[in-house]
Amino acid sequence: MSAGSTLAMDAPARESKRAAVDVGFDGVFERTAPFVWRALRRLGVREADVPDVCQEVFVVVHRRLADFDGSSALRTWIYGICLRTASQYRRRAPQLREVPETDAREQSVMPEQEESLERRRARDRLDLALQKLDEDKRAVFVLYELEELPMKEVAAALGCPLQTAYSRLHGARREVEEAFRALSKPGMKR
Amino acid sequence: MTYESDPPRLVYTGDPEDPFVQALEAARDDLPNDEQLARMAAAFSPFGGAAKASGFWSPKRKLRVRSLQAAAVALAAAVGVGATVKLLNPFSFTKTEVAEAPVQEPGPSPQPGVVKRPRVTAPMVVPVAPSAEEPTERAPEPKPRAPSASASVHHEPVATAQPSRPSQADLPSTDMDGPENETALLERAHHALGSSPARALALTEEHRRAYPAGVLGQESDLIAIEALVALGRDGDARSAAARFRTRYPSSAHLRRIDRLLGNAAGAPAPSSP
Repeated sequence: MSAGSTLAMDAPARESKRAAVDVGFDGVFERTAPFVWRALRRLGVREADVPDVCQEVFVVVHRRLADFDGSSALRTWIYGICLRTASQYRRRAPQLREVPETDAREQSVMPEQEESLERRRARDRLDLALQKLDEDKRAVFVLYELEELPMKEVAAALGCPLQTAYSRLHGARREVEEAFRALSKPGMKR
Repeated sequence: MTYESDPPRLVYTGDPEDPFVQALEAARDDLPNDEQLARMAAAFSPFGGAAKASGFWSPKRKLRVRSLQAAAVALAAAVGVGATVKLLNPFSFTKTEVAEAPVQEPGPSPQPGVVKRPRVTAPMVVPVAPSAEEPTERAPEPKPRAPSASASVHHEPVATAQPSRPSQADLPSTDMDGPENETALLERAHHALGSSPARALALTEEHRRAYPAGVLGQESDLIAIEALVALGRDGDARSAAARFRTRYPSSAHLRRIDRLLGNAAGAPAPSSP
Protein backbone atom coordinates (compact mmCIF):
# COMPACT_ATOMS: atom_id res chain seq x y z
CA MET A 1 0.00 0.00 0.00
CA SER A 2 1.32 3.40 -0.84
CA ALA A 3 2.32 5.94 1.74
CA GLY A 4 -0.45 8.18 0.52
CA SER A 5 -3.14 5.65 1.03
CA THR A 6 -1.74 4.77 4.43
CA LEU A 7 -1.93 8.37 5.46
CA ALA A 8 -5.42 8.66 4.10
CA MET A 9 -6.44 5.64 6.12
CA ASP A 10 -5.06 6.78 9.44
CA ALA A 11 -8.35 7.61 11.09
CA PRO A 12 -10.30 4.75 9.54
CA ALA A 13 -7.44 2.45 10.42
CA ARG A 14 -7.72 3.31 14.06
CA GLU A 15 -11.46 2.78 13.88
CA SER A 16 -11.00 -0.41 11.97
CA LYS A 17 -8.58 -1.80 14.51
CA ARG A 18 -10.74 -0.67 17.39
CA ALA A 19 -13.84 -2.18 15.81
CA ALA A 20 -12.11 -5.51 15.39
CA VAL A 21 -10.90 -5.48 18.98
CA ASP A 22 -14.30 -4.44 20.28
CA VAL A 23 -16.35 -7.10 18.57
CA GLY A 24 -13.81 -9.91 18.79
CA PHE A 25 -13.85 -12.97 16.64
CA ASP A 26 -17.49 -13.80 17.22
CA GLY A 27 -18.55 -10.33 16.22
CA VAL A 28 -16.39 -10.39 13.15
CA PHE A 29 -17.86 -13.73 12.19
CA GLU A 30 -21.39 -12.49 12.67
CA ARG A 31 -20.82 -9.45 10.55
CA THR A 32 -18.85 -10.94 7.75
CA ALA A 33 -19.84 -14.57 7.31
CA PRO A 34 -22.60 -13.90 4.74
CA PHE A 35 -20.42 -11.84 2.45
CA VAL A 36 -17.47 -14.17 2.85
CA TRP A 37 -19.76 -16.94 1.68
CA ARG A 38 -20.96 -14.96 -1.30
CA ALA A 39 -17.50 -13.82 -2.31
CA LEU A 40 -16.17 -17.36 -2.17
CA ARG A 41 -18.95 -18.60 -4.41
CA ARG A 42 -18.16 -16.02 -7.08
CA LEU A 43 -14.45 -16.66 -6.68
CA GLY A 44 -15.00 -20.20 -7.87
CA VAL A 45 -15.67 -22.25 -4.76
CA ARG A 46 -18.32 -24.86 -5.37
CA GLU A 47 -21.44 -24.53 -3.28
CA ALA A 48 -20.81 -27.86 -1.60
CA ASP A 49 -17.32 -26.78 -0.63
CA VAL A 50 -18.17 -23.30 0.59
CA PRO A 51 -18.66 -24.27 4.25
CA ASP A 52 -15.24 -25.86 4.37
CA VAL A 53 -13.53 -23.01 2.59
CA CYS A 54 -15.38 -20.50 4.75
CA GLN A 55 -14.03 -22.33 7.73
CA GLU A 56 -10.53 -22.01 6.35
CA VAL A 57 -11.04 -18.29 5.94
CA PHE A 58 -12.25 -17.85 9.48
CA VAL A 59 -9.55 -20.03 10.92
CA VAL A 60 -7.07 -17.59 9.41
CA VAL A 61 -9.12 -14.67 10.71
CA HIS A 62 -9.18 -16.23 14.14
CA ARG A 63 -5.46 -16.77 14.16
CA ARG A 64 -4.54 -13.36 12.89
CA LEU A 65 -7.21 -11.08 14.24
CA ALA A 66 -5.05 -10.00 17.15
CA ASP A 67 -2.36 -8.95 14.68
CA PHE A 68 -4.72 -7.03 12.43
CA ASP A 69 -3.11 -3.62 12.27
CA GLY A 70 -6.04 -1.64 10.94
CA SER A 71 -4.09 -0.41 7.94
CA SER A 72 -7.11 -1.29 5.84
CA ALA A 73 -10.77 -1.72 6.58
CA LEU A 74 -11.54 -4.94 8.38
CA ARG A 75 -13.66 -6.20 5.54
CA THR A 76 -10.87 -5.43 3.06
CA TRP A 77 -8.51 -7.47 5.18
CA ILE A 78 -10.99 -10.34 5.25
CA TYR A 79 -11.59 -10.13 1.51
CA GLY A 80 -7.86 -10.41 1.06
CA ILE A 81 -7.94 -13.64 3.05
CA CYS A 82 -10.87 -14.82 0.91
CA LEU A 83 -8.93 -14.17 -2.28
CA ARG A 84 -5.91 -16.15 -1.09
CA THR A 85 -7.99 -18.99 0.30
CA ALA A 86 -10.09 -19.27 -2.87
CA SER A 87 -6.94 -19.21 -4.95
CA GLN A 88 -5.49 -22.07 -2.92
CA TYR A 89 -8.75 -23.94 -3.27
CA ARG A 90 -8.77 -23.60 -7.03
CA ARG A 91 -5.20 -24.78 -7.26
CA ARG A 92 -5.82 -27.90 -5.25
CA ALA A 93 -9.16 -28.68 -6.84
CA PRO A 94 -8.84 -27.61 -10.49
CA GLN A 95 -11.04 -30.45 -11.63
CA LEU A 96 -13.95 -28.90 -9.77
CA ARG A 97 -13.74 -25.49 -11.25
CA GLU A 98 -15.81 -25.72 -14.36
CA VAL A 99 -18.87 -27.51 -13.05
CA PRO A 100 -21.76 -25.55 -11.60
CA GLU A 101 -23.28 -27.24 -8.62
CA THR A 102 -26.63 -28.12 -10.15
CA ASP A 103 -28.25 -27.93 -13.49
CA ALA A 104 -31.20 -25.72 -12.84
CA ARG A 105 -32.72 -26.54 -16.20
CA GLU A 106 -33.34 -30.09 -15.11
CA GLN A 107 -35.27 -29.18 -12.02
CA SER A 108 -38.99 -29.53 -11.88
CA VAL A 109 -40.47 -26.42 -10.36
CA MET A 110 -43.75 -24.89 -9.44
CA PRO A 111 -44.79 -21.78 -11.39
CA GLU A 112 -44.06 -19.51 -8.44
CA GLN A 113 -40.52 -20.82 -8.35
CA GLU A 114 -39.91 -19.96 -11.96
CA GLU A 115 -38.51 -16.55 -11.22
CA SER A 116 -35.95 -17.83 -8.75
CA LEU A 117 -35.07 -20.58 -11.19
CA GLU A 118 -34.43 -17.99 -13.87
CA ARG A 119 -32.22 -16.10 -11.50
CA ARG A 120 -30.37 -19.26 -10.68
CA ARG A 121 -29.78 -19.98 -14.34
CA ALA A 122 -28.53 -16.46 -14.95
CA ARG A 123 -26.23 -16.74 -11.96
CA ASP A 124 -24.86 -20.04 -13.19
CA ARG A 125 -24.07 -18.49 -16.55
CA LEU A 126 -22.36 -15.62 -14.80
CA ASP A 127 -20.27 -18.09 -12.80
CA LEU A 128 -19.23 -19.79 -16.00
CA ALA A 129 -18.31 -16.44 -17.51
CA LEU A 130 -16.31 -15.55 -14.42
CA GLN A 131 -14.39 -18.77 -14.72
CA LYS A 132 -13.04 -17.60 -18.04
CA LEU A 133 -11.27 -14.67 -16.42
CA ASP A 134 -7.78 -14.82 -15.07
CA GLU A 135 -7.50 -14.77 -11.32
CA ASP A 136 -6.65 -11.10 -10.94
CA LYS A 137 -9.42 -9.82 -13.18
CA ARG A 138 -11.91 -12.11 -11.55
CA ALA A 139 -10.99 -10.82 -8.12
CA VAL A 140 -11.39 -7.20 -9.17
CA PHE A 141 -14.71 -7.87 -10.86
CA VAL A 142 -16.11 -9.78 -7.88
CA LEU A 143 -14.97 -7.30 -5.27
CA TYR A 144 -16.04 -4.22 -7.20
CA GLU A 145 -19.15 -5.24 -9.11
CA LEU A 146 -20.64 -7.76 -6.73
CA GLU A 147 -19.23 -6.99 -3.29
CA GLU A 148 -19.29 -3.27 -4.10
CA LEU A 149 -16.03 -2.35 -2.46
CA PRO A 150 -14.61 1.01 -3.48
CA MET A 151 -11.75 0.61 -5.93
CA LYS A 152 -9.29 1.83 -3.33
CA GLU A 153 -10.23 -1.10 -1.12
CA VAL A 154 -10.19 -3.50 -4.04
CA ALA A 155 -6.64 -2.45 -4.82
CA ALA A 156 -5.72 -2.80 -1.16
CA ALA A 157 -7.21 -6.31 -0.96
CA LEU A 158 -5.27 -7.34 -4.04
CA GLY A 159 -2.13 -5.50 -3.06
CA CYS A 160 -1.89 -3.77 -6.42
CA PRO A 161 -1.77 -0.12 -7.50
CA LEU A 162 -5.10 1.57 -7.95
CA GLN A 163 -4.60 2.15 -11.66
CA THR A 164 -3.82 -1.53 -12.15
CA ALA A 165 -7.08 -2.39 -10.45
CA TYR A 166 -8.96 -0.01 -12.75
CA SER A 167 -7.30 -1.53 -15.75
CA ARG A 168 -8.21 -5.05 -14.64
CA LEU A 169 -11.78 -3.98 -14.02
CA HIS A 170 -12.05 -2.54 -17.49
CA GLY A 171 -10.85 -5.76 -19.06
CA ALA A 172 -12.88 -7.96 -16.75
CA ARG A 173 -16.12 -6.16 -17.52
CA ARG A 174 -15.66 -6.62 -21.22
CA GLU A 175 -14.65 -10.26 -20.99
CA VAL A 176 -17.37 -11.26 -18.52
CA GLU A 177 -20.11 -9.63 -20.51
CA GLU A 178 -18.92 -11.15 -23.77
CA ALA A 179 -18.66 -14.59 -22.23
CA PHE A 180 -22.05 -14.27 -20.56
CA ARG A 181 -23.77 -13.25 -23.78
CA ALA A 182 -22.08 -16.06 -25.65
CA LEU A 183 -23.28 -18.53 -23.04
CA SER A 184 -26.78 -17.11 -23.28
CA LYS A 185 -27.12 -17.94 -26.95
CA PRO A 186 -29.36 -20.90 -27.72
CA GLY A 187 -27.44 -24.13 -27.50
CA MET A 188 -24.57 -22.48 -25.62
CA LYS A 189 -25.96 -22.47 -22.14
CA ARG A 190 -23.42 -24.93 -20.82
CA MET B 1 -6.91 4.74 -17.53
CA THR B 2 -7.83 7.43 -15.05
CA TYR B 3 -11.04 7.90 -13.14
CA GLU B 4 -12.05 10.90 -11.14
CA SER B 5 -14.02 8.51 -8.98
CA ASP B 6 -15.09 4.92 -9.13
CA PRO B 7 -17.06 4.13 -12.28
CA PRO B 8 -20.75 3.37 -11.82
CA ARG B 9 -21.40 -0.28 -11.24
CA LEU B 10 -22.93 -2.28 -14.03
CA VAL B 11 -25.83 -3.43 -11.95
CA TYR B 12 -26.97 0.15 -11.43
CA THR B 13 -26.40 1.44 -14.91
CA GLY B 14 -27.62 -1.45 -17.02
CA ASP B 15 -31.11 -2.22 -18.17
CA PRO B 16 -32.88 -4.11 -15.36
CA GLU B 17 -34.42 -6.37 -17.99
CA ASP B 18 -31.03 -7.26 -19.42
CA PRO B 19 -30.20 -10.88 -18.49
CA PHE B 20 -26.63 -9.86 -17.74
CA VAL B 21 -27.78 -7.27 -15.23
CA GLN B 22 -30.21 -9.78 -13.77
CA ALA B 23 -27.37 -12.25 -13.40
CA LEU B 24 -25.34 -9.65 -11.52
CA GLU B 25 -28.30 -8.98 -9.27
CA ALA B 26 -28.79 -12.68 -8.67
CA ALA B 27 -25.12 -13.12 -7.82
CA ARG B 28 -25.20 -10.17 -5.48
CA ASP B 29 -28.22 -11.62 -3.71
CA ASP B 30 -26.67 -15.05 -3.39
CA LEU B 31 -26.26 -15.13 0.36
CA PRO B 32 -26.39 -18.17 2.59
CA ASN B 33 -29.63 -19.06 4.29
CA ASP B 34 -30.03 -19.41 8.03
CA GLU B 35 -29.39 -23.11 8.02
CA GLN B 36 -26.18 -22.74 6.09
CA LEU B 37 -25.00 -19.98 8.37
CA ALA B 38 -25.84 -21.95 11.46
CA ARG B 39 -23.93 -24.94 10.12
CA MET B 40 -20.99 -22.76 9.34
CA ALA B 41 -21.07 -21.28 12.81
CA ALA B 42 -21.21 -24.75 14.30
CA ALA B 43 -18.01 -25.60 12.47
CA PHE B 44 -16.15 -23.24 14.75
CA SER B 45 -16.78 -25.11 17.95
CA PRO B 46 -13.26 -26.58 17.94
CA PHE B 47 -11.83 -23.21 18.72
CA GLY B 48 -14.52 -21.67 20.78
CA GLY B 49 -16.32 -19.49 18.33
CA ALA B 50 -19.23 -21.71 17.52
CA ALA B 51 -21.43 -21.39 20.52
CA LYS B 52 -21.61 -17.65 20.41
CA ALA B 53 -21.53 -17.40 16.70
CA SER B 54 -24.37 -19.80 16.19
CA GLY B 55 -26.24 -17.95 18.89
CA PHE B 56 -26.37 -15.05 16.53
CA TRP B 57 -29.16 -16.79 14.70
CA SER B 58 -30.99 -17.67 17.84
CA PRO B 59 -34.75 -17.47 18.10
CA LYS B 60 -34.39 -14.55 20.48
CA ARG B 61 -33.31 -12.31 17.69
CA LYS B 62 -36.33 -13.21 15.67
CA LEU B 63 -38.54 -12.72 18.69
CA ARG B 64 -37.22 -9.21 19.08
CA VAL B 65 -38.08 -8.33 15.55
CA ARG B 66 -41.53 -9.78 15.76
CA SER B 67 -42.02 -7.99 19.03
CA LEU B 68 -41.02 -4.74 17.50
CA GLN B 69 -43.39 -5.18 14.62
CA ALA B 70 -46.22 -5.84 16.97
CA ALA B 71 -45.30 -2.77 18.96
CA ALA B 72 -45.39 -0.72 15.81
CA VAL B 73 -48.78 -2.16 14.96
CA ALA B 74 -50.15 -1.25 18.35
CA LEU B 75 -48.73 2.23 18.23
CA ALA B 76 -50.02 2.77 14.75
CA ALA B 77 -53.45 1.85 15.92
CA ALA B 78 -53.16 4.36 18.71
CA VAL B 79 -51.73 7.38 16.99
CA GLY B 80 -52.37 6.87 13.32
CA VAL B 81 -50.16 5.98 10.45
CA GLY B 82 -48.68 9.36 9.73
CA ALA B 83 -47.64 10.01 13.29
CA THR B 84 -46.29 6.53 13.62
CA VAL B 85 -44.05 6.87 10.64
CA LYS B 86 -42.55 9.93 12.23
CA LEU B 87 -42.27 8.45 15.67
CA LEU B 88 -40.99 5.05 14.76
CA ASN B 89 -38.17 5.80 12.48
CA PRO B 90 -36.23 2.64 11.74
CA PHE B 91 -33.23 3.77 13.69
CA SER B 92 -34.67 5.00 16.92
CA PHE B 93 -35.24 1.79 18.85
CA THR B 94 -32.96 0.70 21.60
CA LYS B 95 -32.50 -2.89 22.61
CA THR B 96 -34.54 -2.34 25.74
CA GLU B 97 -37.43 -0.94 23.82
CA VAL B 98 -37.37 -3.91 21.55
CA ALA B 99 -37.23 -6.41 24.35
CA GLU B 100 -40.14 -4.84 26.12
CA ALA B 101 -42.41 -4.74 23.13
CA PRO B 102 -45.30 -7.16 22.90
CA VAL B 103 -44.98 -10.17 20.70
CA GLN B 104 -46.32 -10.74 17.27
CA GLU B 105 -46.91 -14.20 15.97
CA PRO B 106 -43.66 -15.49 14.58
CA GLY B 107 -43.49 -16.41 10.96
CA PRO B 108 -40.81 -17.57 8.62
CA SER B 109 -38.61 -14.83 7.34
CA PRO B 110 -37.63 -14.28 3.78
CA GLN B 111 -34.58 -16.21 2.74
CA PRO B 112 -31.65 -13.88 3.07
CA GLY B 113 -30.22 -15.07 -0.18
CA VAL B 114 -33.33 -14.59 -2.23
CA VAL B 115 -34.83 -11.31 -3.23
CA LYS B 116 -38.45 -11.80 -3.99
CA ARG B 117 -40.10 -9.41 -6.36
CA PRO B 118 -42.29 -7.37 -4.10
CA ARG B 119 -45.91 -7.23 -5.05
CA VAL B 120 -48.83 -5.34 -3.74
CA THR B 121 -50.65 -7.57 -1.37
CA ALA B 122 -54.00 -7.76 0.22
CA PRO B 123 -54.24 -6.38 3.75
CA MET B 124 -52.57 -8.72 6.16
CA VAL B 125 -54.01 -10.12 9.32
CA VAL B 126 -51.49 -9.36 11.97
CA PRO B 127 -52.56 -10.35 15.42
CA VAL B 128 -51.24 -8.53 18.43
CA ALA B 129 -49.88 -10.94 20.97
CA PRO B 130 -50.10 -10.30 24.65
CA SER B 131 -46.81 -11.71 25.90
CA ALA B 132 -43.16 -11.10 25.21
CA GLU B 133 -42.14 -14.50 26.44
CA GLU B 134 -43.58 -16.66 23.75
CA PRO B 135 -40.98 -18.88 22.16
CA THR B 136 -40.70 -19.20 18.46
CA GLU B 137 -40.37 -22.48 16.69
CA ARG B 138 -39.24 -21.02 13.44
CA ALA B 139 -35.77 -21.18 12.09
CA PRO B 140 -33.67 -18.43 13.58
CA GLU B 141 -32.35 -15.65 11.46
CA PRO B 142 -29.86 -12.86 11.87
CA LYS B 143 -31.64 -9.78 13.08
CA PRO B 144 -29.19 -7.48 14.79
CA ARG B 145 -31.57 -4.55 14.78
CA ALA B 146 -35.11 -4.14 13.78
CA PRO B 147 -36.55 -1.46 11.63
CA SER B 148 -39.91 -0.37 12.81
CA ALA B 149 -41.46 2.52 11.03
CA SER B 150 -42.46 0.44 8.12
CA ALA B 151 -44.19 -2.19 10.18
CA SER B 152 -46.71 0.28 11.37
CA VAL B 153 -47.85 1.40 8.00
CA HIS B 154 -48.96 -1.82 6.48
CA HIS B 155 -50.09 -3.66 9.51
CA GLU B 156 -52.01 -0.96 11.21
CA PRO B 157 -55.46 -1.26 9.66
CA VAL B 158 -55.83 -4.94 10.37
CA ALA B 159 -54.23 -5.00 13.76
CA THR B 160 -56.99 -2.87 15.16
CA ALA B 161 -59.53 -5.36 13.91
CA GLN B 162 -57.85 -8.37 15.49
CA PRO B 163 -58.13 -8.11 19.23
CA SER B 164 -57.66 -11.79 19.87
CA ARG B 165 -54.91 -14.00 18.71
CA PRO B 166 -55.54 -16.86 16.32
CA SER B 167 -53.59 -20.05 16.49
CA GLN B 168 -50.50 -20.44 14.42
CA ALA B 169 -52.39 -22.51 11.91
CA ASP B 170 -54.86 -19.70 11.44
CA LEU B 171 -52.24 -17.28 10.31
CA PRO B 172 -52.56 -16.40 6.69
CA SER B 173 -49.71 -17.11 4.37
CA THR B 174 -49.66 -13.49 3.38
CA ASP B 175 -47.61 -12.66 6.43
CA MET B 176 -43.86 -12.93 6.39
CA ASP B 177 -43.77 -15.97 4.19
CA GLY B 178 -46.10 -14.57 1.60
CA PRO B 179 -45.40 -12.06 -1.14
CA GLU B 180 -43.09 -9.47 0.21
CA ASN B 181 -44.59 -6.09 1.01
CA GLU B 182 -42.96 -2.73 1.29
CA THR B 183 -42.50 -3.12 5.00
CA ALA B 184 -40.76 -6.46 4.81
CA LEU B 185 -38.54 -5.36 1.99
CA LEU B 186 -37.26 -2.36 3.90
CA GLU B 187 -36.97 -4.39 7.05
CA ARG B 188 -34.60 -6.66 5.22
CA ALA B 189 -32.75 -3.71 3.78
CA HIS B 190 -32.25 -2.20 7.18
CA HIS B 191 -31.27 -5.49 8.66
CA ALA B 192 -28.71 -6.04 5.92
CA LEU B 193 -26.93 -2.81 6.79
CA GLY B 194 -24.97 -4.54 9.51
CA SER B 195 -23.70 -7.48 7.54
CA SER B 196 -23.92 -6.42 3.93
CA PRO B 197 -24.39 -2.78 3.10
CA ALA B 198 -24.18 -3.66 -0.58
CA ARG B 199 -27.17 -5.89 -0.18
CA ALA B 200 -29.00 -3.23 1.80
CA LEU B 201 -28.39 -0.85 -1.06
CA ALA B 202 -29.64 -3.37 -3.57
CA LEU B 203 -32.80 -3.87 -1.57
CA THR B 204 -33.49 -0.15 -1.51
CA GLU B 205 -33.11 -0.17 -5.28
CA GLU B 206 -35.58 -3.01 -5.36
CA HIS B 207 -37.88 -1.00 -3.17
CA ARG B 208 -37.63 2.02 -5.45
CA ARG B 209 -38.54 -0.04 -8.49
CA ALA B 210 -41.38 -1.89 -6.81
CA TYR B 211 -42.86 1.03 -4.90
CA PRO B 212 -42.24 4.23 -6.83
CA ALA B 213 -45.02 5.88 -4.85
CA GLY B 214 -44.46 3.95 -1.64
CA VAL B 215 -45.10 5.55 1.70
CA LEU B 216 -41.68 4.64 2.97
CA GLY B 217 -39.65 6.42 0.36
CA GLN B 218 -37.81 8.51 2.91
CA GLU B 219 -36.85 5.50 4.94
CA SER B 220 -35.68 3.70 1.84
CA ASP B 221 -33.52 6.64 0.82
CA LEU B 222 -32.13 6.91 4.32
CA ILE B 223 -31.12 3.26 4.33
CA ALA B 224 -29.52 3.73 0.94
CA ILE B 225 -27.47 6.66 2.17
CA GLU B 226 -26.38 4.73 5.23
CA ALA B 227 -25.39 1.82 3.02
CA LEU B 228 -23.38 4.07 0.73
CA VAL B 229 -21.54 5.49 3.73
CA ALA B 230 -20.85 1.99 5.01
CA LEU B 231 -19.50 1.05 1.59
CA GLY B 232 -17.15 3.99 1.64
CA ARG B 233 -18.90 5.62 -1.31
CA ASP B 234 -18.94 9.04 0.26
CA GLY B 235 -19.44 10.90 -2.99
CA ASP B 236 -22.48 8.85 -3.89
CA ALA B 237 -23.78 9.21 -0.35
CA ARG B 238 -23.52 12.98 -0.54
CA SER B 239 -25.25 13.07 -3.89
CA ALA B 240 -28.03 10.91 -2.55
CA ALA B 241 -28.26 13.13 0.51
CA ALA B 242 -28.56 16.19 -1.69
CA ARG B 243 -31.39 14.59 -3.60
CA PHE B 244 -33.04 13.65 -0.34
CA ARG B 245 -32.75 17.21 0.94
CA THR B 246 -34.32 18.57 -2.22
CA ARG B 247 -37.12 16.06 -2.14
CA TYR B 248 -37.82 16.21 1.59
CA PRO B 249 -36.61 19.60 2.81
CA SER B 250 -38.35 19.33 6.15
CA SER B 251 -37.72 15.67 6.84
CA ALA B 252 -36.86 14.62 10.35
CA HIS B 253 -34.26 12.31 8.88
CA LEU B 254 -32.09 15.16 7.66
CA ARG B 255 -30.36 15.51 11.00
CA ARG B 256 -29.39 11.87 10.95
CA ILE B 257 -28.17 12.15 7.38
CA ASP B 258 -26.02 15.10 8.36
CA ARG B 259 -24.54 13.08 11.18
CA LEU B 260 -23.91 10.15 8.87
CA LEU B 261 -22.00 12.36 6.50
CA GLY B 262 -20.11 14.16 9.20
CA ASN B 263 -22.04 17.25 8.30
CA ALA B 264 -23.21 18.24 11.74
CA ALA B 265 -23.64 21.86 10.81
CA GLY B 266 -26.31 20.83 8.41
CA ALA B 267 -24.70 22.47 5.43
CA PRO B 268 -26.40 21.40 2.25
CA ALA B 269 -24.59 18.75 0.35
CA PRO B 270 -23.62 19.48 -3.21
CA SER B 271 -26.65 19.49 -5.42
CA SER B 272 -27.15 16.68 -7.81
CA PRO B 273 -28.82 16.49 -11.19
